[in-house]
Amino acid sequence: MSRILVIDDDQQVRALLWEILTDEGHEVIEAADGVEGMRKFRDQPTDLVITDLIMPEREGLEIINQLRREFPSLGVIAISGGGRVGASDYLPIAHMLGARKVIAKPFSAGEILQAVQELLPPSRT
Amino acid sequence: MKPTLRRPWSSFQVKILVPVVGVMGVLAVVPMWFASRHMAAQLSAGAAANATTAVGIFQSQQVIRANNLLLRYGDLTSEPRFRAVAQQHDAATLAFSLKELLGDLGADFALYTEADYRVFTNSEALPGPAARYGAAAADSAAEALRGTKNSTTVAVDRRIYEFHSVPVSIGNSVLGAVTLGRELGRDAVAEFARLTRSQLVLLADGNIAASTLDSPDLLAELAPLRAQGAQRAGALPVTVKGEHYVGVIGTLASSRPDHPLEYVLLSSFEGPLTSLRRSQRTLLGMQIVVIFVGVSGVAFAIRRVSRPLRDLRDTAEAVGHGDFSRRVRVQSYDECGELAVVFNQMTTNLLASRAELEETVATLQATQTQLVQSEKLRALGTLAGGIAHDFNNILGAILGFGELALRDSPAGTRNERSLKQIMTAGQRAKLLVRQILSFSRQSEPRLETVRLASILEETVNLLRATLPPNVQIGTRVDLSEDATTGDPTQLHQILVNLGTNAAYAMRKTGGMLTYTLASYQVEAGAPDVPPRLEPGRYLRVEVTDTGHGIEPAMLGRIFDPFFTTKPVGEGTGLGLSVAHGIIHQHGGEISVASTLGKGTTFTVWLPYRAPVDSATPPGPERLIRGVGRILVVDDDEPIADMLTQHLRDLGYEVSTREDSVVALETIRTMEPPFDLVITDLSMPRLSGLELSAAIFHLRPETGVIVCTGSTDPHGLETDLPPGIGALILKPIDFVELSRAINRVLSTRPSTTQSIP
Repeated sequence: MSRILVIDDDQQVRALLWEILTDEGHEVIEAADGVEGMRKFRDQPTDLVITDLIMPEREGLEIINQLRREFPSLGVIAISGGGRVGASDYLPIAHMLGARKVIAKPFSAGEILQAVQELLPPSRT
Repeated sequence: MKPTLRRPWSSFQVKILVPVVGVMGVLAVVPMWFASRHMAAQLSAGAAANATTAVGIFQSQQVIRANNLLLRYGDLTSEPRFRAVAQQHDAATLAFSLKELLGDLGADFALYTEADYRVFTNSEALPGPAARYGAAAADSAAEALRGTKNSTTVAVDRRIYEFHSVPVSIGNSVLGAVTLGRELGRDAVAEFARLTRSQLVLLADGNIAASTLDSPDLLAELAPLRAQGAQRAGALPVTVKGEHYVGVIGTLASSRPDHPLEYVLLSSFEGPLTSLRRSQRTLLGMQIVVIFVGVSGVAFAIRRVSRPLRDLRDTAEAVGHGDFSRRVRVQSYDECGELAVVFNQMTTNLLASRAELEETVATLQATQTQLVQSEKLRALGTLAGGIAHDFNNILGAILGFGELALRDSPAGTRNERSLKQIMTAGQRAKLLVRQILSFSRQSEPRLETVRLASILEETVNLLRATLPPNVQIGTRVDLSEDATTGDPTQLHQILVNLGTNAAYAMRKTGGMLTYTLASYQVEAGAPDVPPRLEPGRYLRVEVTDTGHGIEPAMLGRIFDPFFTTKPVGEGTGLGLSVAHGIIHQHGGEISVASTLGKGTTFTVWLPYRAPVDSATPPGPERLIRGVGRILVVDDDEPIADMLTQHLRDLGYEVSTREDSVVALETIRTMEPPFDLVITDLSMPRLSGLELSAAIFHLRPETGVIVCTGSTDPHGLETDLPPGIGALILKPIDFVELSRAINRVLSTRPSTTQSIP
């Protein structure tokens, strides 16, 4: 039973992830933007964070950066709808910043669950 | 634009002729006018001089004659015979004696006045009543009685008489006076006129007493002279009976002061004047002829000279209307000829300019069209990119929840079938979005080692999901070494594009789409191989369909930009031209062969490039090893150490420098040069950017990777300056770094990889 923080500004995405993850027995904390996400994480750190990248003002990237600095051992999964911003995608950047997994939308339940499985601390499966 | 019609009086010829005629006329007439006036004046002056001379002669002649007469008369009357008669005081004898005197002396009449003033005369000789004449002569006689002989001139009955009176005396006493009278009449004036070649008119009390001229209006004609008054300035022009004279008016010296008698002396210059006039007329006539001849000559010359100008005008008009083939005939070597030459040159230049201009306009238009098209595409791409993100969210919801629902549906139910269809639709949408995104990604090719076989597999999988059911798809891979260098995304895009084109060709009838991948060794001059390819080892991909084929006429244009046989809205015609460009960039070639009704085969050649790391296929999760000499530049020692360690683990030979200036010196002098420099961005003295620029100049064959801890303050992410192969953000992800190193090393200007 692990606690997973999901940050995405799209309600349906959050709902979907909730369904998938709770089916597997995880507890899901939701946040609609990076600020809320950080606040909730600091209140009570989760075992894993899944965050969207494209939220207003590139919050997603900053969140990943911040989380990785403050909590180097935390697993972060980055999801993104793609689209072109600048000369390259955000996904490789997220990777550079420390997101251990990057998953493109639309994702399948299997992809998410496999990534979560890989990143969770071994004691919590 | 029609040139305005020339008005007749403004033509070139007229413009020259009018002044010429004017000048010639003036030159002819004015001097003549002055000359004739001058000459007339000369004639007049000559006549005046004559008149003045004549006056002098006249006056002196009068005096002389008077004196002579007096002498003669005096002689005569002092004869004793006459004296004796005079003493007798007898009228008859006196009359007789007087008559004798007349005969001797030739006077017209004679009077004898006694001392007591009794007058005796020979009355037959008197032209009028004796008393009158006696009265007229009285003064003269009286003076003679006093002892002085004298002459006077008196008018009587409109005639002028000279009275010459001489005393008759015995001893000292005067017996009487003899007065002899002569008329100054026609004969006298005639004689004078003959002598002086002048005309003489004698006036008595305003009437003409004697005249050598007989003009009906003589008095009136002489009026200007008489009107002078007391001044008597000199000779004046006078016209009598149409003849031109110069006249001088004077007073007979011998006339009595209270009854002056006038004379008018006229000297004619009519003759010379007439000659003058005649000469003038002749001269004028000649001049007119000369002017005429001159003008004709000038007119002719002008026409001759202005013909080239007229030719020029006509040619210019033609050229102005667009006929640039016309040229002016060069007819002379003067200014007109020069003008013609220059004009022709100008026309030639115009022609050339116009051709150039047309060409430029055509190029511009073509470029503009292309630009508009590419702008549209770019906008489309941006739009697509913008939509894709949200779209993926939506798709995520559809697919995600659909998956969950599918899990909860019992197998075999209609629910299950429906949900499966929903999933399929969602998958297709997902692929479509990816295709759109891929299209909108006008990316600079990221050259990395690419495995064609896996690209091919991805392509076929994609197509299988999207192609209509009547199109079969198959692959054949005939090699194991399938590596080349290039942009996997682009190559993938191309292969998909070829596949969709093939499917389109088979959409009505269905058919077979086959992808074949094989290795091929290109020899120089080999048939069936595009001539552009250098000899070497190639990967050859063939995309074959069994569709309707391509018409031979179209085959040559099939790679042209914007060339498409699809109806509007179904294709931009970009795919093949873009593919062509991309493949050329990769060092390869694309060609097409087709048989109408049978099918088409596109062949893509890509040069084989041995991968940098042939042992392990690269992937996002795997570190790429490699060989090479790397210099690490970072003023942060622990970071530099860590980096060095990781790089050595990957197989590279690593050196470090903490000072960027020292590093630059090392780079400059190191032989052989480093393969790669990894440098931090913010350093004292020489920043990472400056160092990179310096390396690019000094050692262009050395690759550069820049690391930065901040989130790209220079905006390098979007615009890598030349020479910088990659940007790595800290904290460094070593997988990414290893990939970047591999990429940069394999795409340096003079790569040391060999192509077998």
